Amino acid sequence: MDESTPVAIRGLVKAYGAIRAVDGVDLEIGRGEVVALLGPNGAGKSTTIDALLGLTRPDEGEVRLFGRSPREAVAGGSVGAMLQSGGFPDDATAGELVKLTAALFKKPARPAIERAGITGYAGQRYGRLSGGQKQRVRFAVALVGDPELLVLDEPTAAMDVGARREFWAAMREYGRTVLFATHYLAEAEEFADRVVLLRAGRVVADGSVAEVRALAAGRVVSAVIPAVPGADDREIDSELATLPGVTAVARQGRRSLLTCDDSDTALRALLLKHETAHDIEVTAHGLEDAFVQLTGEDN
Amino acid sequence: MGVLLAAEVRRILRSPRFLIFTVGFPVVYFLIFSGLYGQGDTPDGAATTVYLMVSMAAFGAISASVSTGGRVAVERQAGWNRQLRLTPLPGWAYLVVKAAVAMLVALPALVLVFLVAGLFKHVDLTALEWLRVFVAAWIGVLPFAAIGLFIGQMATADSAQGMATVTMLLFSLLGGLFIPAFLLPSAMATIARLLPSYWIADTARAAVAGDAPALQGILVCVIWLAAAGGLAVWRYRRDSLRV
Repeated sequence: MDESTPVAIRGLVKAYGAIRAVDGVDLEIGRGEVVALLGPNGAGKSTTIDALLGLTRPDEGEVRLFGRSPREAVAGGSVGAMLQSGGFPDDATAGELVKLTAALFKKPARPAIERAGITGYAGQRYGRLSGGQKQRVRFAVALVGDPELLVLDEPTAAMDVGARREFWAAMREYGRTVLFATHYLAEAEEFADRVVLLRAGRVVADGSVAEVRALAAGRVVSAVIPAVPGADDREIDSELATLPGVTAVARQGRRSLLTCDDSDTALRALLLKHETAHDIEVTAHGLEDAFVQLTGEDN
Repeated sequence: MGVLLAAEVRRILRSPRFLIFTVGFPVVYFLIFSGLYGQGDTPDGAATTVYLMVSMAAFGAISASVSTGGRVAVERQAGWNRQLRLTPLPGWAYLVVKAAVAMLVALPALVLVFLVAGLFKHVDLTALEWLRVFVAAWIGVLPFAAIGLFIGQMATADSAQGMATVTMLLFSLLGGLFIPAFLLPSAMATIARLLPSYWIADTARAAVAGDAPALQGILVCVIWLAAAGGLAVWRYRRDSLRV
C-alpha cells in the first residue's frame, strides 16, 4: 500500500445484527482532495467514518490510512477528526480540552487554538458555549495533532451560513486532505472537489460534483395526461416509457414524470401521442435530483 | 497520562456536589456518631471514636471512589471516551487514569475525617499510627475504584448515579460501617466478612494497633478487585468494538 495515500478502503463491511450498515464500500482518497461523503440517514456514513478512524472493527475488508492501520495513523497524529457524537465534558474549559489533547499528542496547543479562532472563549466551560462555538472547539481539537488528513462528521451542523463559510475558508487555507460527511447538498456542491454518494451501505456514485450531477443526466418532462378510455394509469405510464428519448417514468399524483436523455424528442413524441397533455414542465437535474434519484429507495 | 489525570482531578474539584456528598457527609456522620456514642470502649478494645473514625473515613472513601467511577457512564454516553480514542492515549491508560482518579478523590474524605478526629475528637495517635491507618485505608479503596469503573462501563448516564449510590450504601451497610459487625446477627456477620468494605475498616483498625492485615481480608479484597477490574475491562472492550 502506498504510504502517501491518505485513505484506502477496500470491501468494507460492517453489520449490526441483521442490518448491514456498510455493505462493501471501496474508497480511495488522494492527497489534497476534499471529499464529501453524502447520503441520507442510515446510508452508512457514520459507520464508514467510525471504521476509518478505528472506532469500530470492520466485519470484512480493510482500511489503511497512509499505509497504516487506523489506530496507528490516529495515534501518530496523521489524522484529526471531528465526530458527530464527540462529546466533551461540560465542566472542562475550551482551552483545557485543547491543551489536554495537545499534551497527549505532545504538540503545542496554541496554533490550533488560533487557527480555529477560539482564543476569545478558551477560558469558558465547554457546557456554556453556543453550538457553533462548541463546533469550533472540536475543530481546534481535531487540528491539534497537525494532521495530514481531517475527517469531519457533519462539521457545520450547528453553524449559521456565515460561520459555515468562515469554517470552510479556514479549511481551504489549511490545505490538507479532507473527508467530510454531510446532509447539506449545497455544502458538498460548494466546498468538495469530489462527492461520494452512499446508499444503504454502498457507494452509488463517486466523482466530481459535475460528474455526479451528470449521472442523473438529462431532464425531467412532467405533464398531466388526461385519462385514456380503456387504459388505466399504469398502462399509460408503461406506454410512455416506450417513447423515444424517455428512460424512465414515475408518477406523482396526477403527474407523469418522464426522465429523459433527450427531452426535445420525448416532448414531441408525447404531444403526438397525447395531444391533450397539459401543465407541461421541463426541468434539469441538480445535484439534489442526483441525490434523490441515486439514493432513493426505488430507482 | 499525567495530563489526563490532572485534567480529570481539576474537573472533579470544580463540582461542588462532589465535595458536599463525598467529603462533607462522612465528616458530619462522624461528628454525629462520635457525639452520640462518646468515649466508651468497644468489645474489641479500640476506642469507640477511633472505631467510628475508621468506619466513616472508609465510608467516605468508598462513596467517593464508587461515584467517580459512575461518572464514566456520563462521559461514555456523551462520547468523550470516543474522542480520547482519537488521541495516542491507549485504552488501558484510559482505564488506569479513571481508576487513579477514583483513588485520588478518596483522599479528601480519608484525610478530613482523620483531621477532624485528631483535632476535635481527641484521637491521639502517633505519627506512625496515623500513617499506618491512612495507608491501610487507602489501599483498601482499590476494589471500590474497580467496582465504580465497572458501574461506569455498564450503566447508562441516567442510571449510573443511582447504581453508584445503591452500591455504595449496600457495601457500607452490609460491611458493617454503620452498624458494627460485632453487633450484627451471625449470618450477617458472615456476609460482612465477604465484603471489601468490612476489610477496609478492619485492616485500617488493625493498622492502628500495629497488627498485620488478616489473610482473609487480603484475599477478599484481591478477589473483588480482580473480578470488578476484569468486568470493567471486558465491558470497555465490548464498548470499543461495537460503538
